[in-house]
Formats: sequence, structure tokens, C-alpha cells
Amino acid sequence: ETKLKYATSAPVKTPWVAHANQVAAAVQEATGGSVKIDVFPGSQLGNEQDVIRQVARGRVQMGAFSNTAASLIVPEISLLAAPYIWDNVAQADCALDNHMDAVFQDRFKEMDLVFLGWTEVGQMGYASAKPIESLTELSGKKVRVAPSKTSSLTAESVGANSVMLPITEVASALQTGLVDSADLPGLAFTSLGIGKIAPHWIATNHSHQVGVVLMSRKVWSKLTPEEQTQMQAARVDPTILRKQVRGAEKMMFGKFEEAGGRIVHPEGEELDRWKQAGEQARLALVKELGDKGAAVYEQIQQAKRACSS
Amino acid sequence: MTILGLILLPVLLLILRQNLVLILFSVAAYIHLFFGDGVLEYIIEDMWIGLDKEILLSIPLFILCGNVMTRGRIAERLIRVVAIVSSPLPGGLAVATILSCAVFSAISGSSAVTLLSVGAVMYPALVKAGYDKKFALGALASGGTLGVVIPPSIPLILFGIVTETSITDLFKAGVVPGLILTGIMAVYALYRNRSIPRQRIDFRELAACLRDGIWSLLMPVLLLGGIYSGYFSPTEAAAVALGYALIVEIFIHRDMQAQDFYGIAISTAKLLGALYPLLAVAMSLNLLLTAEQVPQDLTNWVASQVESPLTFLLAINLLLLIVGCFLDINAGILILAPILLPLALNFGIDPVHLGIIMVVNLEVGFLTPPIGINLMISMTAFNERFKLICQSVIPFIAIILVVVALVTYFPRLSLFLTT
Amino acid sequence: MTVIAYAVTALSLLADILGRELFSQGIDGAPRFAVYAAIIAGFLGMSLAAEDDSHIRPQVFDYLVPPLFEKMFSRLADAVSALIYGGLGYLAVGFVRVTYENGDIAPVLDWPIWPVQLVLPYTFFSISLRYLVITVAPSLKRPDTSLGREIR
Ligand code: NA
Ligand code: NA
Repeated sequence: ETKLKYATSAPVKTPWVAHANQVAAAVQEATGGSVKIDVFPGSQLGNEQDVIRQVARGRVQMGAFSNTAASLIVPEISLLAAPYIWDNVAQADCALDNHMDAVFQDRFKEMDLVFLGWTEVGQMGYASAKPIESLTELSGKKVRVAPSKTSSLTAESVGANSVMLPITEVASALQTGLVDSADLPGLAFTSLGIGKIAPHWIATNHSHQVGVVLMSRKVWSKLTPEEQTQMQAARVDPTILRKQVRGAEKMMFGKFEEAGGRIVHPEGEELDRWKQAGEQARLALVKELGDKGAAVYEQIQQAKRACSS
Repeated sequence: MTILGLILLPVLLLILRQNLVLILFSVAAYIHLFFGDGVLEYIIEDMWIGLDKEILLSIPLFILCGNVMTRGRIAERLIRVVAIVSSPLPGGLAVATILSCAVFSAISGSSAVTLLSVGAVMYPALVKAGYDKKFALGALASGGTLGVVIPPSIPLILFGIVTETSITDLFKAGVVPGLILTGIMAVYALYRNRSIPRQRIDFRELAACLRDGIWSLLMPVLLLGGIYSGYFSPTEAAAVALGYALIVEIFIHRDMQAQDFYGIAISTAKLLGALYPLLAVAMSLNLLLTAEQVPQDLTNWVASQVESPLTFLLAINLLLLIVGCFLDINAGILILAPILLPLALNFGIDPVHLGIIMVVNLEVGFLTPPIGINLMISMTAFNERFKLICQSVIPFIAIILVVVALVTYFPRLSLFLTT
Repeated sequence: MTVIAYAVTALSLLADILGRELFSQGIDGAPRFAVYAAIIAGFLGMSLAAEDDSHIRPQVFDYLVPPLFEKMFSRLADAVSALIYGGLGYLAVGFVRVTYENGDIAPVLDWPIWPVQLVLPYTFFSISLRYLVITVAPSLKRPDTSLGREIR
């Protein structure tokens, strides 16, 4: 019997931990119990930036990671979260499942990791305590960004003054005014209760966040060929998690509005302004990522074409 | 057999006169070999992961800042103002001692720095003014512990790091319990020294002291004001405090010279040279325990044994009091916080509340033998007998215990300022 | 070196705060940079602490050794310390090698991490070497000052 530790930063009772448990159950069933997975939610094994390196080193066997953590190992994956890189969610799903999957399988393999599938985190927007409802208003303000190039380039492209903060400090930072606004995934914003402090949300949906499930290649190569095939076959359909996350997002934003929260949906010219700024950030990001980044960017463009026809 | 080795190894190393750091490393190595995956390199990896944290920055900076303030005269000038303001009270200087500790706590993150900085000025003054030596020792040793409750606080920072709880929230939650402690201690100081006559405020002297101490008085305002009005985060506050203290001591008070920073940095580095490996080993053991699911099993066991949150809180109180006798507060937080957190969540206790309970509870440990840091510091700093110092803190321990109970069973005291 | 590292730690944080609050432009990698400076300072501090024997050392069993053998035993203790620190140094080399081979980069700064990590094997080996020297030549040993070092 092989025991595998599966790490995730998602807190218990969230769709992501449910997904991890589904993966664990599916693998156990497919291998007839010869591979057993223990899920460690809520960053129990350390924060994901540290754990993903431990997976590459083979100390932790597998885990689910956000785009931010994954881009420490394969920087080009940050392009998937680049502002307005997809025309719509359906296109993103199609491109990820049918085209980008293979691209990143190869890239992670080079880094001693086995890519086992996508997870869904949802759309990003900007939260603020005082009313900030447009790009012009956000410009010049102090904006919390996630510890990733994508997040800071995006905020800077709209003229914001970016302040990098871990998610644990976001609520206090918004309350004290250390930042005026925060770049957050919608579901994190609503489910962490940040909406109570920052009742204003711009649904820019500027970044579609997907995560990855990864396994250590050292551990993988110790499995028998049958177990490897069985594990591949046990991959949980990504559409289940997507549906759950998108459903939860919608429900939680409904609750947020009921509790007096205000959501602005940029449209028309305003949306165009956001997209123009996003394009700048996107190009800057591609430039920073060098040749490999340019190659992946091209593959994304091909995938988009294939998925819109 | 392997368990026996776990006990024999540190004993053998103690006999071989190894220092604490090496003993801890060896024990960690032993655990990795026999209970973990057997890869010793993980010790180094955990050490790196443990130290590679942005929030950890505040610790060396607060210690540096504390050393700067002890070398210079920021503390002394601050205390002079507080002493004059409290002089019309009976036992004014006693009250001033407690208040000075509280005000100083608002700029220092540690108990030792508070005790040393205030004690250096206040102890001779109290003895000279005819206050009971025993009271003076107790007030200073105990007042120093306010340093870890009133923000900024190094133990609260450590709690935030290991449990991923917001440090700003923890700091806010420490304010009210800190003020309650200060209040009760001050009332006790007043009552105990009620026979010592009041004095008139000499307004001319007050004005002179204010002029002299204005930069010192501005420091807590700058720090806490800066954090709560969003100019900087608690981590950054440490850098601001250090920068401010250096500028004031070197350019305004001129009580220190720029080259003094050299010696201060070296002595800070040595202190941290001792703290860092301890921190690293503790983090490594935490990870190992979690990976072996020890806290999870413990949670399930406790959840099956203890039914109500109240019993659970009482159990925590007792556990921490015992642990506080033997462990330094920082080590206590590092080792126990990750184990207690899942248990507390299970009973619906807010992580911020747990942090405050732990810190106020372990605060008692500064004053209890065998390992009571403030007792040892008082003994060396004031050159008094250990027994006298132990006796002197007894009434203050009683006061802290009352506050432990208040803080534990009235979560709102800690939480109403947070979100 | 230690002093410079601390100065760099504080200055990079202060520059970030001032930039952000006064000029609306913080320095993205400043806190990361400060972390590495603080780590370097902390490890150099560890070897400084070892140099004047100021690491906490519990002395509970010291009485077990008869005075006659005191000198010999003290040499044995130093040899054991040299050995353990040497072992840590060896492990640290392995750790840095993996970081180097995996090409681990610092978040935000995008620099390779391994050069910073070199401070680990450097510290352990230099302490080990120091213990080795005083094992061979005990006359170079400084008087024991580890009493009362619990003060923090
Ligand atoms: Na404090
Ligand atoms: Na104690």
C-alpha cells in the first residue's frame, strides 16, 4: 500500500477540499486500495509556495496549487491568469482541457512534477471600503496585490499604487486604510467575510484563476505501471469543480448584495478601458517571461482560435 | 526502543556539554530518522522555510529598536514625564512605574526590553523615594510583561505566523486586555502605597520634561497611530520604530552616536543567532507532527473527551500555566499554537481570541520558576536575591490570573475592536 | 557584514513605505529583499554567538565530570560540537545543491535563491572549523560565558 499526502491551502468545507476528497476517493477506488491519499487542507503542511517546492523535491507527494504558487515553478503558467486573456469562460474551459493541458504537462515534467489536472478558483475583481467604482477612481489609489507579477502588473496598468500583501492581512489592511482597494478572487472576497469591511466590489473579472493538481515525479515513478494508469484514469472531471465554484460564487455574491454590498459591472466604454489597461499588463507580462513565455502565449492564441470556431 | 533513544539522546548530549541549539537539532534529526521519512536534509529545508517569511522581519527589527532605546535615553525621558504626571497621587511613583511599563509596551515588542528599559530608571528612583524594595521589584518584573500583551508584541507576531492569523487583528485584540491589566496593576500599586504622601505637580518642571520628552512621547503615537490609520503594516512598524529611534537618539537627543549602531547590531545578531535556530527547529517539529497527523488525532481525542467549550478553555488555561513554568513564551507559542488551533476551531473559538488567551496565559510564565525570564533578568539587572524576587511577583501573578480568566471567558474583550 | 545586512533590512523596508506613502510608488521586491538580508544577518549572528560561546547551554550535568578529567572532557565536548556542526554543514550543502538544480527562484524578485542559501553551509562549516581548532589547540578557547544567556 502506498500512502500519499495531498496538500491544499483551501480551508475545510470549501468546494476545493471537496474536490481533493473526490480525487482521493477516486484514486483509492481505481487502485483497489493500493494507493491511499490523505488530504491536508488549510495549509497544514505549510504555505503553498513552500509546499509546491517540497512536491518537486518529493517530500510532499502531491497537492493542489494556485496559479501564484505554480508560477514559482513554471513561470509561464501565470499567462493563464493574465488580464482578459480569454474572450469568455467557455473558451477558457475548452482551451485548458483540450490544448493547454498537454503544454503544461510537458513544462511541469521538466520540473520533476506530474500534472494531474486543473482546478477552478474563479474570477478576480477589486474590493474597496469606500466607494471606488471605476478605473479612473482606482487610479492612484493604494491597491493590495497578490504576491505575483500578474497581479501587480495588472494593478499598475490602471495607474494604481500596488502594495503586496498576503491574503491573511487583506481584511485589516482594508479596514485601517493601509490599502484603499484589493485585487481578490470573488469567492475569497465573499467567503472570507471581507465584504463586511469592504462593501464595494468592481466585478472587472479581469483574471480567470485556475489552479493545478500536481504530483511529485519521484513518487510517481515509484508507482507500478498499473497504478499509474489507474491514477490517470481516476482524474476527476474538472467540470464538476467549475460548476460548484461558479455556483458558489453566484450564491455568495447574492448574499453579499442582500447584506447591503454593492457590485459594479463595468460595461461598454468603461469595460473597454479595463481591457485596454489589461492588454498593456498582458504584454508586459509576456515580455518579462522571455522566449518560453512568448511560446506559451502563442500556444494560448492557437488554443483560443481552435476553441472559438 | 526508539522512544527510549529519544529520551537518552538529549541526556547524552547534555552530559557532553552541547548547547541547546545542537541538542534540538539532534533531536529533530532523530525524529526525522525514526518517525519521519528518514531524510535529514529536511531539517535544513524546514529551517529555511521557517525563516524565509516576511512577517518574521519584524522580530530582528523590534529587538534592534529595543537595544537602541536601551542604549540611548528615549525610555528615560518618557518615564520622567509619566512620573511627574502621576506625582499628585498617593504612591505616585508606584503608579508611574506601571504606567511607564504600559506606555513603553506600546513601543516595544518584548517583555525583557520593557523591563530593562523602565527598570533601569525606575528601580533606583523607587528605592530612593522610600518605596518597599519588594514592591518595586514585583512591579517592574510584572509590569515588563505588559510588553507582550500591549501591541506591538513579538509573541503575537509569532502566533500570527504559525497560525496564519492576521497580525493587525491580533494587535488590536491585545489593546483592551493590556489596558485592563495596566488598570488593575495601577490600582493595586495605588492601594499598596497609599501611605506614601502625594506631591504637588511642579508645572515648570513638567514643562521642561515635556520639552525634553516630546520625541519619546510621540513614538507610541507614531507607531500605533501609523498601524491603525493605515500608513504601515505591523511588520513595517518595526522598521519605522527603528528608523525613528535612531534618528531621535542620534540627531535630536544626541545621546547616541552613529557608530554605536555597530555594537547594537552585533549584540542583536547574537541574540537572534540563539532565537533563529530555536524557531527553525520548532517549525520543523510542527510540520513533522502535522504530517504524522498527531494534532489531528489529538483533536479527535480531545473532542471526544471534552464536551463544552468552557471545559476546553479551562483545560487550555491549566495547560498553558504549566507549560509557562518551563518554556519561554515564544517557544510555547511556536510549539502549542498549531496544535491548539484546530482544537479551538472545533469548539468555535476565534483564532484571534485563542492568540490573546495564549499570550496572556503564557505571560504568567515570565514570573514563575524554574524558567521565569523576568525573574532572571530582575535578579541580574537589580542584583537582588532570587527568592525575594519570586515573592515580590506573587500579588501580580494573582492579578494576571484574574485577567486570564476575564480574557478567556469574555471573548468580546479581545474581539470587539477587530472585525 | 552582519551590521550591513541589518541596515539593508531596515532601509529597504523604509524605502518601500516612504515610496508608497509619499510618492505613490512602492518598491515591489523590497520586503523579499529585506527577508534575505535578515536571514543572512541571522546566520552570521549564529556564528558570532558561537564565537563567544553565547549560545544557551544547560549546565545541569557538568558536575558529573571529576575535576581531574575536566580538560580532556571539555575537549571531547568541543570535538562533538565540531562533528554535529560539520554534519549540519554537509546537509546544508545538499539542500543548496537541490535548490540550485531545481533552479528555484525568489518570488517577486525572480532571482535564483541558492546564492543567499550559501550562508547556511558557510555558517555551519565555519562554526565547525572553530570547534575543531579549539579541540586541537584548547589554549585558544575563550572562557565560558554562557551563564545567564537566557535573557532575551
Ligand atoms: Na508591546
Ligand atoms: Na516560567
